[in-house]
Amino acid sequence: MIHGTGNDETTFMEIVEKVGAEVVADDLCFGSRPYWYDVQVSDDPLVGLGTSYLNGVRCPRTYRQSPGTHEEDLENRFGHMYEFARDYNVKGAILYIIRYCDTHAFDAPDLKEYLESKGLPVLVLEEDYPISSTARLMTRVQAFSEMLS
Amino acid sequence: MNEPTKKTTATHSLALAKKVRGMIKDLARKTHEAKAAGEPVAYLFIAGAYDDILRAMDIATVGTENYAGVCAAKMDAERFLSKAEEEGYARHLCTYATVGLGFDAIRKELGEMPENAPDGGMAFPTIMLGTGMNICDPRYKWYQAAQRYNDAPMHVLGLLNPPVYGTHTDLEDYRSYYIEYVMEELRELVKRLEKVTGKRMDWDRLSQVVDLTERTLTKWYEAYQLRKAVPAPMPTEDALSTMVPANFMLGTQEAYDFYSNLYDELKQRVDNGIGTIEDEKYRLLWALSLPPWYALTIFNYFESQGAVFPIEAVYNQGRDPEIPDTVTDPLERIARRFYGSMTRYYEKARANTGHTTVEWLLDLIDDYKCDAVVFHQAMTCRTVHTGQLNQINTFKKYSDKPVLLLEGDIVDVRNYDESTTRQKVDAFLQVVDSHKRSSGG
Repeated sequence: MIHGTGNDETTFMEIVEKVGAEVVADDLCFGSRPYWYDVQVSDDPLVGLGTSYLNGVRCPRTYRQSPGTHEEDLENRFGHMYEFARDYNVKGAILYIIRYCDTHAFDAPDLKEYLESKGLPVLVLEEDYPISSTARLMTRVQAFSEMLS
Repeated sequence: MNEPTKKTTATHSLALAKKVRGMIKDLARKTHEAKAAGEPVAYLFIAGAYDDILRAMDIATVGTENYAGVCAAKMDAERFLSKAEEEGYARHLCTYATVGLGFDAIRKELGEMPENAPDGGMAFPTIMLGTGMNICDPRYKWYQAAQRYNDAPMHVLGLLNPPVYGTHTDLEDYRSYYIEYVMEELRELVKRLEKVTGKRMDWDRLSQVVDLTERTLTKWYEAYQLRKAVPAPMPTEDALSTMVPANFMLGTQEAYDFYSNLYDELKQRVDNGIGTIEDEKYRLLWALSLPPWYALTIFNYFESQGAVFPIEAVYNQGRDPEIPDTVTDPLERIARRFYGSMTRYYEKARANTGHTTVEWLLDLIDDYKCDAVVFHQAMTCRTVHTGQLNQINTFKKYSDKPVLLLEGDIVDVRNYDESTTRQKVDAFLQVVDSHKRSSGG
């Protein structure tokens, strides 16, 4: 599973596939994230759309008030990703953070902790846009892939 | 990397500016005492519009950005930055935030304050108050992340203001909406604070605090008007200290008295023709740029070359918006103050450059008789840094004053090179000199 920022480069996915892994689920800005929810029907359709953009899109840029403990906060912010991982039989998660998307970068330690607490290995990568070094990325993804297998 | 040299005060620094460090220590001491007495303590951001409310409810405050700046100025930020990186926070994130997160992480790990932490460290928060404000992401992401280390609730105050760079809307059509929105957010903040701290808001007291705040801001503005004098009676490096009461002590008699005294000291200097430096050759404007807190000595270097900064756009509120006396609801007065300050240059920008900050710079250059402008590209502050080149390009279309862009950071000295900076300053001042001569200055 790949989590991360808006990324219209296919290079990274190709790197993952080259080392023998498959991307079976994603939580990317331009991927499943903005589409993985239903707009609630409301009397005023604009209210339904507005509410969905704010609450439906699980983007790090949108603050969600913590329901209580730190653990509950992590569940509230990242629970949907664990559901992805479970439903798609994910073996490992890569947090692919494009440099200077600060809202994702601030979330990375929390998200890593959360997914690992669920037993899912996590690799955090930070990269420029466009990708500055495919060889370095390949090495790290390959090592992660070997660890999973 | 060359580390900055030691001296940090202006050649003729104001007596009041020298007292500010003691005031910051005193603020920290009060938060530690409050914590020890079981009183609530709030983490908060600068210019968050919640100061009056917290003051009226007697909630001690820790300005977390300010604390990072203090650590940087004392050259004691590195251990906190390193800890944050070890925890997984990227080096390019706001270094105010990463100092805070590193500090919180170490405090949690030790179960006590980090050893010899500046000012005794930051008191553990009862609540962390972020703002949802289109200034910067760390205003909510930092404290959200800090929940890893601080078992304390967080509240985000939604502070909405119109898109000031837009020119397609008539402000009057939307003003009441924005003010009502912020008022609703302030009401919710009061409710949350009452719930978390068990204290009750005294609305009459809040009105008194708001009145004191407004008088303080007016006094601050009046004092800074005196800085138009030639020679410059007070430089920017002093202003980086004198902004503290207005940003961390609003709503207190101490802050009001400070600006009254500042006015008096400046008046005395102006009346007697006392300047910051002996031979003022060049007057420079410090743009809307956060300073390198670890290298304020750079101002001394400018001064050694005959250049002084009589004014700055950063930490300079300008004239407080006029609010009719008929508005008696203190929350509405706070909301109007916020709205007024955020839209101050909207109409002017719409009629001229299209850029509110550029309008602010052009005004300051005229009012304070500046010969050139200096920007500082603080690498980890996306808010100020992003768009800076566009700001400069727009500025250049409306002014022929020379512009310098320095590179560094707010906290992380690893992003700074003193010798390169000095070389840039030397070359720039030659350009300023040449420009002054060619324009008859």
